[in-house]
Amino acid sequence: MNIAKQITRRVWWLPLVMSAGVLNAAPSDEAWSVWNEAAIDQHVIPRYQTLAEQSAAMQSAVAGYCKAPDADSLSGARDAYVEAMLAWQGIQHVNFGTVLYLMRDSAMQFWPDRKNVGRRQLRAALSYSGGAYDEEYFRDASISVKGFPALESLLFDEAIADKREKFPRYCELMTAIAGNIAQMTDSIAVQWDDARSQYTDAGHNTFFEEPADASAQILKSLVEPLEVLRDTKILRALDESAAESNWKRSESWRSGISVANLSANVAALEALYQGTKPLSVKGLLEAQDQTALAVAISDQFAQIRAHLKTIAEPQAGPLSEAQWQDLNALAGQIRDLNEQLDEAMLALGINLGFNSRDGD
Amino acid sequence: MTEINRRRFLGILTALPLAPYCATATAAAAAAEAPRLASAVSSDDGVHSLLIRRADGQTLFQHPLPARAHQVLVDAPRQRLVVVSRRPGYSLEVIDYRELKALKRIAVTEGGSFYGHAELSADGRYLMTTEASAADDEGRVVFRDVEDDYRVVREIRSGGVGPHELRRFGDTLIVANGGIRTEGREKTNLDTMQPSLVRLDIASGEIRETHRFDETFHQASIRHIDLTPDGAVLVAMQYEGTPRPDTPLAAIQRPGEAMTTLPIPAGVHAQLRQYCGSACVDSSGRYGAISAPRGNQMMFWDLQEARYLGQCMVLDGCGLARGQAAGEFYASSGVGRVYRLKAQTQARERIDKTPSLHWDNHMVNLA
Repeated sequence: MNIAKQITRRVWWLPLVMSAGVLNAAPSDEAWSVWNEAAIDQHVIPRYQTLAEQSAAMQSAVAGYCKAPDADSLSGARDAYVEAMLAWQGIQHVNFGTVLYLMRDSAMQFWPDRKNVGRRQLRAALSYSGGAYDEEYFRDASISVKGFPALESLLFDEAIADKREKFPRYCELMTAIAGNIAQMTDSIAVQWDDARSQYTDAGHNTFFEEPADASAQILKSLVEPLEVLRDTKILRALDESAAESNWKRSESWRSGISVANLSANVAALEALYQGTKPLSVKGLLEAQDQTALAVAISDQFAQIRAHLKTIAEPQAGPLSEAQWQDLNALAGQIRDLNEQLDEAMLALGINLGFNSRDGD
Repeated sequence: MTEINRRRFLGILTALPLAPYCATATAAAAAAEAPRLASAVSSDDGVHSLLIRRADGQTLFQHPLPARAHQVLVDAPRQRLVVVSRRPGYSLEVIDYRELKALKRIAVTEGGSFYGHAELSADGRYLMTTEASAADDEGRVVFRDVEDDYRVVREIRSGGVGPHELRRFGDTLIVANGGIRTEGREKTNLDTMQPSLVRLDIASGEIRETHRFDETFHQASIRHIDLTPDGAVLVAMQYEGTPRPDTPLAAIQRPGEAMTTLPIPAGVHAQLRQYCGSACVDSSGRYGAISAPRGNQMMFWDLQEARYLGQCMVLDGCGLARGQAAGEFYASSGVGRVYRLKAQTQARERIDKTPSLHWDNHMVNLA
């Protein structure tokens, strides 16, 4: 069944949600069902499809470079990496569904790598003498060599030509990791065909007792990543002062897209907040008589987006005082957005979890 | 009926167990159907309390606590509960669950802190708690004399860093040493942690058995345990290292034997986020359940055969308590729900839903 048909099928009750009769009560089961379907069909699945396409393109570009290594093919491969990584940044916030199968969520991007596991594992992989880097190899390999960070450190190595000389299997491994990413992202996208109904039929299956339970899982992906953006992607690189900062602790310093990653993340969360039809989180809030909050959240997204446009990617190493202050201010804006969205969840009667967030 | 009135009303009922009128008989019958569950809970606005509530959703007693709490220990002969504050915890709350009133608050000794769990000696005389010591990194088991106003009378070494849950079997104390050194709630030794499951002789404090996993899995924090009637330990773990598909998250250890992992299907394991919450053995001793709140799963095993039976989804579910029947468990969740679960079929029946009640990690059945 196509998406348009599914929406039409449900659209009859829409006036019920919007009517004054349901103001100030939590959204109805029907409203959550429609929103779940919209979020999965318009946000989650298309973004995984884009990721799969960009990853396939990246695999070809990396293979192309390895077949005929020159400046053009290298920049083509690097550009393709950036496109695929940004597609991943556009769906990285989703922490439910098929990305969890076979621990792909960790395998796609093992980061931050606080103990430099990746570096050790990558060295071991380069001197591996046990046969092809095939499916079996990746099944048993450390998650630190399966995804984007491993590929980035090979592909964006400044001395890539020397490294190819030094390590005979350099290109073979690089192509294989790109292929592994392409294979994982393809499976993530395809397996949503089966996983979809867990969310869209929530309340009528053995997974979720009520439509709002599935909504809560999806909404975790709207709210919880903001803490990761602030603490892990920004403040970890900033440390306590400009002198102690180091942009090498940012997410994609080698490829120079750590700030672009943040922009992709914020755009994705904004789309999940207000981009789905016929219902969005924003619309559900407005229907709860929370228009001021709903609009304030939209404005905050817009301000963060505008601020990000003015931030140039810093060089690896310590930040200038001005850069530090600017990124610190950005982290503050993200914290404010996080608080607003927490408030929104309360208004919508959504509990994101207690034991799962802070247990012993 | 308001909470207070209901509490008084029930107080009267329990004071007159043989009262010969219909209302009492009806209430007693209802009581038989819906056991009392006790747990630490938190509210939306961050107020922490001890809750005693019938499985069908009737609150009997709710008592505010100074901080978030963890285990609720039952002292059945005295009809008391000991509520242990969460690590780093600074107080114990003693509750009379017959009279439904708070009896006493016990502060931790200077320089120490509670790790969240407690157990009683065989004769019920001594309360034993896992605690941190100001002197060194190794954990302690601290003994308090229940008959002497919970005065500290003894202290032994737990056999490892960061002891968490403890259970007594005969004259042996079994301690899950999580292995994690903490400052506040920050973990400071994840690279070098060495968790262990230890069987101690209570009388001498000597270690009889120490169980660890292979060095590959030294970051599997052994935290929560329960016992079968023959002294086997069901172990629930939290993995602190780089995620991988074969990390030990559930295990069994029989007296005198090595600790061995319990099977978890790969597809389920991948969803658990390397984290299990509570371990619980059923009333028959044959079935075990372990909760995985980050993966929203409750898993079941036939412990006799070490065979995985299946799982069911419980959102944010963590607390587990045994039911009356073989394979029956009660499960609580941080999103305000209580379920009756069946290990053999993995059937899930929701029996309570109050979204504002966040049931904390552990729950106990007072019957």
